[in-house]
Amino acid sequence: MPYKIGAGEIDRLKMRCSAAVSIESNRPKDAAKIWRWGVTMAAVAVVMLLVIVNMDALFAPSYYEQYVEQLSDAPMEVLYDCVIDYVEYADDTTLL
Amino acid sequence: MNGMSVEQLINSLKSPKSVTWAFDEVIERYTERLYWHIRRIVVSHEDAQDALQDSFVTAYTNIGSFRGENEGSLTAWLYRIATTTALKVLKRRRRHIFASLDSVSAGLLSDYECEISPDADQIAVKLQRAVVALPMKQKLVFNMRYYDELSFEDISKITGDSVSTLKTNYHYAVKKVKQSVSELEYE
Repeated sequence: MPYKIGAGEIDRLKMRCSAAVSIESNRPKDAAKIWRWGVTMAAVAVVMLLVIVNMDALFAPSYYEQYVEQLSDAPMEVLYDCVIDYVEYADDTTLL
Repeated sequence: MNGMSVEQLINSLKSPKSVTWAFDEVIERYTERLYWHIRRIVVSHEDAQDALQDSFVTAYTNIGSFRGENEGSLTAWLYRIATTTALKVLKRRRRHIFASLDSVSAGLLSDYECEISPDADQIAVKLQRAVVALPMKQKLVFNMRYYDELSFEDISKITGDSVSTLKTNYHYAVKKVKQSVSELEYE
């Protein structure tokens, strides 16, 4: 092979690879797996806790729904004022 | 241990009790072949030895996923890991992430000029110079067919390409290598 290579390099590579695999085989894989599993479960628990704590806010009626609710019970005068506002101040009431 | 058949070796790899020493035997048998396979892809010795070590560690940690029963499947599995690892080394050399692997060919060619053994046969040097300049897919199939004498079916298991695609790539590679070598002859 027309590449430079030191004498005895292949034997050195065998030893190097064997040593690397030996280090890998002695690494406590189960401990690493338990650690990863623990971290994942903790993250899931935190997310679930946040969802439970904020349940009311998540499922509460929106501002728009509350507004429509109020309007449905409002007297005709208020509704009339709203419509007039909309006609006269269209730019300011578009958010409604 | 050296007298162990490949089937016995594969069975030992699948048993948790014997996997460690069986893998030592894999290293003993495959280091040289895989080293040269990787070296022909990455060119530099330093990159080749790092990629070889990473390949064996990857193979060892994923030994549970190896389902082969014979020498061909073990060889193909190890070559696939080694090829992927060597290509990862080349990907790190690209100027930006969207550049193709062939864009590093010019760099490989200049690396090769520094890696030529002073006592190497000049025809082999010319041949290797032509091979290094090939596009990556053609280079991979040429190396595995010409140097490692693997069948197209085995190369197909390594690269994931169809046999007909590999044959086409090999055909173009041989054509380009012949052309490059003959051009170099006249220089």
